[in-house]
Amino acid sequence: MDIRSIILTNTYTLSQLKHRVALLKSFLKKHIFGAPIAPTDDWIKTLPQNLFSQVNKDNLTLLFENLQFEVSKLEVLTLYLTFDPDELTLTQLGEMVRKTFGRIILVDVKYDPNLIAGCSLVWKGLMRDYSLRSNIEARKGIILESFKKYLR
Amino acid sequence: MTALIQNPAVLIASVAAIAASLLYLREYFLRKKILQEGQKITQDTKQKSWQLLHAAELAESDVLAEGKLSLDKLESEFNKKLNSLLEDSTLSITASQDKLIKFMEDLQKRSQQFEESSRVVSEKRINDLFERLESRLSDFVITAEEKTTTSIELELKAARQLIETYKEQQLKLIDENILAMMEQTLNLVLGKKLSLKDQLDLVYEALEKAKVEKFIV
Repeated sequence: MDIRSIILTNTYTLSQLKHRVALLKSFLKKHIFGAPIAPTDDWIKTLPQNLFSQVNKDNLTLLFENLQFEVSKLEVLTLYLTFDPDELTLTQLGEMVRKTFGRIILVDVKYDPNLIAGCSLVWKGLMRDYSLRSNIEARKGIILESFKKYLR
Repeated sequence: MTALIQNPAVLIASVAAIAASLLYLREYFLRKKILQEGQKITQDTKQKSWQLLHAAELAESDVLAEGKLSLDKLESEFNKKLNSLLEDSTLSITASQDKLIKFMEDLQKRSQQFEESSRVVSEKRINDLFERLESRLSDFVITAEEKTTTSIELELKAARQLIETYKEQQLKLIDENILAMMEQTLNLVLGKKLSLKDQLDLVYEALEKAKVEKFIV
């Protein structure tokens, strides 16, 4: 299992990925060049031990350059949500995305309270609104007609 | 005598004395004659003057007599002519007076006629004027009434249109506000009432829909 697959196993969002890559790089540098230290982050602890044995001072830079390159090729789905999700919810969302589309897709979560409920998606530069606001807008005529019955 | 003959000077002197005496005598008689002639001429002149004066007095008397006669005659003629002239003037004045009176009467008559005709014309004009005024006033009132009615109708129509437009705008505004209010209300209510599970369900639903619609392939 390569380092990319290891990282993406339980990394679902773009911010998580950036944070974890930086964290791992820092940890490995300290691990190789400095005194061996015990991992302080919970996520580092979940990584398999053989990953650290694969990395040495000779391939560290190349390894991360390749990682950056591969990560940049990953598909990113931007999700506009009406709530601020916690880590667990992010994990649930990431898993659901991967399950629904059957492949590794990174999620970039943004907050938009105007959507009322539901979400809107941005995929490869195109946006599609699946929120309640969009539903209301689509049914604007029907809603207004029903209101007008009481107004006129 | 013999001495005289013997002395020539004496002789010459004697001759000269004799000649001188002769010349003197001649001159004396000549002057005397001239004086006499002068006296005669003066006498004749005086006589002729007396005659002339007398003739002049006679002539004067004649002239005076003739002048008086002529004057009397002239006076008589003058009086006669004056009387005639006075009579003529009196007649002329009387005629002129008659003419003037007649003219005045005629003028008065004409004035009365003119006054009468003016009165009639004025009355007619005033009546015409009143008729026209009445007619125009009536036309004006009718036109004004029509205009007012039209204007009121137009104003009414404009006001109705304005009300209708305002109503439509307000209703449009209400429609827009209804949606905005609904969205805001839902946002407030759902933001608090919607559980995390419901929120996630909606997201899952959206993902499924995106898959079905092949938005994400």
